[in-house]
Amino acid sequence: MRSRNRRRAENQVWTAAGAYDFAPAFLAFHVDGTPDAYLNAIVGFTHRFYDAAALRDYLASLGSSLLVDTFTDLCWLALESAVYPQAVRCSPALPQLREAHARRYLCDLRAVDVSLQQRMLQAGVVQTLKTARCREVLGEPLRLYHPWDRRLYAALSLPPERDTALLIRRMDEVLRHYFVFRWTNHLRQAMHIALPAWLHAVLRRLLPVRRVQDDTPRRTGGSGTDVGTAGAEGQRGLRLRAGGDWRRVLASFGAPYFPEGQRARFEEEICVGAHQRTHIFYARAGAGQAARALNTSFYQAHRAVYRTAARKLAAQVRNTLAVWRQPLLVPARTGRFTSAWAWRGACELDGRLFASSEERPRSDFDVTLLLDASASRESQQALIAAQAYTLAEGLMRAGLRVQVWSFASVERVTALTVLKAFGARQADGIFAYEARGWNRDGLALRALRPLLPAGRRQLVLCLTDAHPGDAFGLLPEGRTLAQAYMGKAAVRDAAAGCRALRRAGVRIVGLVNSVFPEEATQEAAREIFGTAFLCLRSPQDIARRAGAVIERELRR
Amino acid sequence: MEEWLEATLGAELRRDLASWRNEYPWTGTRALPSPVYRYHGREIFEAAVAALLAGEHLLLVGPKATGKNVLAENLAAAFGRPMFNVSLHINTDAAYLIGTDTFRAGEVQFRPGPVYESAAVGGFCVFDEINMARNEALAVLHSLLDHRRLLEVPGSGQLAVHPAARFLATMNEGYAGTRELNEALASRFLVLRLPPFDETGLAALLGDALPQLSNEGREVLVALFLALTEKSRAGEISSRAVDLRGLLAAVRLIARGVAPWRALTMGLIDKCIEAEERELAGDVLALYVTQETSAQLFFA
Repeated sequence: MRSRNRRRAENQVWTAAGAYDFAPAFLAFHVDGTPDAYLNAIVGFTHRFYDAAALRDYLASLGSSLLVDTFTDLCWLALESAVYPQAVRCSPALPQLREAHARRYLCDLRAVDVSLQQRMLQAGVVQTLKTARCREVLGEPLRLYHPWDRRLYAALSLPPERDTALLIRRMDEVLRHYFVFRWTNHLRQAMHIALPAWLHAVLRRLLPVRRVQDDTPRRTGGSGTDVGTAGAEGQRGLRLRAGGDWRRVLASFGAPYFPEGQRARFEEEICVGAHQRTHIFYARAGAGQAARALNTSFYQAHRAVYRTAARKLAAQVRNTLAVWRQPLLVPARTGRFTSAWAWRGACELDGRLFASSEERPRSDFDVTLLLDASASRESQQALIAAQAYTLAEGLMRAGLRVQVWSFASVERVTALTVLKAFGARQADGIFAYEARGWNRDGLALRALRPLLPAGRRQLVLCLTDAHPGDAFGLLPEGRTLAQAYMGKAAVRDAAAGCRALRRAGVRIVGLVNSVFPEEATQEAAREIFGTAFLCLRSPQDIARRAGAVIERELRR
Repeated sequence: MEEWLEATLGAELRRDLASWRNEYPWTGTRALPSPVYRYHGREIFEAAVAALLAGEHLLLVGPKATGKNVLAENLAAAFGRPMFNVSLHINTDAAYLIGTDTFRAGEVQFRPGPVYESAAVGGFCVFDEINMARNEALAVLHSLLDHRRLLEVPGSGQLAVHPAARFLATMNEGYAGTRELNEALASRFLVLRLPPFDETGLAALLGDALPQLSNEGREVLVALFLALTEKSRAGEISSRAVDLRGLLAAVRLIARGVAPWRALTMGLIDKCIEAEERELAGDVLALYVTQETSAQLFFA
């Protein structure tokens, strides 16, 4: 999940840029991880005043150099000097922000307990020039003692050119003049050479460079998001031989949610009839870093849309709670005359002869999101996690109690995994949602019953593709041969599971999103959920259509 | 008033308005509205005046602080009629609008509501946030608003609506507590959608509210407000900080000696409920005003 500091930094860039339609390629943070408001504003103003794509391409082209980080830092030093005089016309507070940034930078430099290696790096050209810039801002002596440093500093103090090509040319000239080896140059400390990319790659492998944390704007991922560990296999795709140890399968789902005795009792009640010789398991979500990284990355890439959907859903539900309230008549001094109370006025006991109505909001039901986590959902794993997170967030913001479970079936074990419990204040656990195995929907729906608290109305929203299936078949009563848990038989069993929940007073609605052909999906969904299902095609559907489901439930 | 009408209305409309005012002069005791702010959108104002001259009623729709109530007040002042404000809410019922029975001098008496009074004397009745009331409660207005122009009051007979009476309604869409307006009721109004303030409109409004505001200060406030608006449109913050009333109140506080950063935080930033949202909105403020910024920036 995008961190608070990162979100703040991005917003600082967007505010200065006056645009929100791009992912900032550079963000600046202080050594303690808090965003640097001044430098992020400079990044934003750079985007506003110049051709951002051209600048980005130029800075990316520096990647062929061994000194890419140094060059990038120096370019930003130059950009800051060019952008600041123009930006200060748009932002009257920028001078104060600049001074605060300079003071903070110098203070951090003195205060931070750094290693010897970092101290040596601090003595390098970038830190020297940045320190000089901060001193200049504060009106202090620059303390640039080396003539080379003074010349470079002067060269990087670019005038406020609006021409992007000219600006890039100036920066490039400075870098070439001071950092490309020519025998006529007077070098500062060592030779710095621009290398071909292949040699650069070889040398980086032999001579790994360790970065020092400072507040120069740093490159984000290619899409502006943090680069995670997406693509790692992790525990995905559990493969078991036929007849594998089912206890080993249980362990693969994560730590147990219930004590074994309680789980066994549930299993004894639920795994009967056509589901005999199967097992159920209730798990807490495991580490699943790969899935979490992938889901989080997807959500971040589309956060604006999903966050807006969550906000709209919350507003819609709150609105419904406010609107659909039950009237309560109370005695009052004005209102509708109530003849039965007229005696009060006649006897001069009480002037409240009229009835006035007060109304109270109702939210006496809980919401459970049940996510089909079978392998058929793998291609939409991130999308489903984002949808579920948006739903949960929206409903929680509206004050409803929400829990989120996923289910999958492996080797005769149908496991329900808690992604968000009722008591959890954050819904981030939903991003641990991982698709694998089969989906024995009928059993999963029956197994959901113990998780629904008594005494309150329950609404279950099932995110599914309406295509149940399991490798282990159905064993109907009185038969010796199992029937494959596929196709119509599986759909019928899932429908039976829904009916069982409804008999217990639970309202269940299918939120269907499938990669299978729409006609077949709708037919299956109709059989499983009756008329209580709807198709989610876009994030906007979450607010509008799921919100309508909640509204209908509140009005019941 | 006449100068402002000359700047805001075309000659023909001004003539028709003057003729209408001569036909329906106000002779009652209730004070006529004296607007603090003038509505500056010429196109919108002309359309509104034309609609009211034609005997129609108006539904003004737009986000908060787009000048709906300012426009209604200016219209009442331009037409020279008293204004009756009815703030609607979820518990509004017909009795609240039309009137209710009360016990006085030992007997039950009818106490007329604002709608009844306005219809009787020919006032301009403004239903504020009309879509917060239940449609069942608003159904009593149907006969008032259509060709019948009459009101049936159980136990008190029938009231014929004064020919000068007009009904205006204001409405936000999608805000907490609002609902969809009943189609039958909506069809009895002409709808004017008020756009959010742009840079020019904001500057004019600030100039009206505080003529002593410096040019530089006005530019800073306009830029700050538009930056918050843009951030809300991008979905990064809610619309709570985009509060024009809060902005005007903050500037009045600055005029009274409160530090600009404190005043603008009170008027805009602290309207956000979530701490993270306050941080984001506060970062916008930090680009324009710091804790060291003095009031001299705004009032030279």
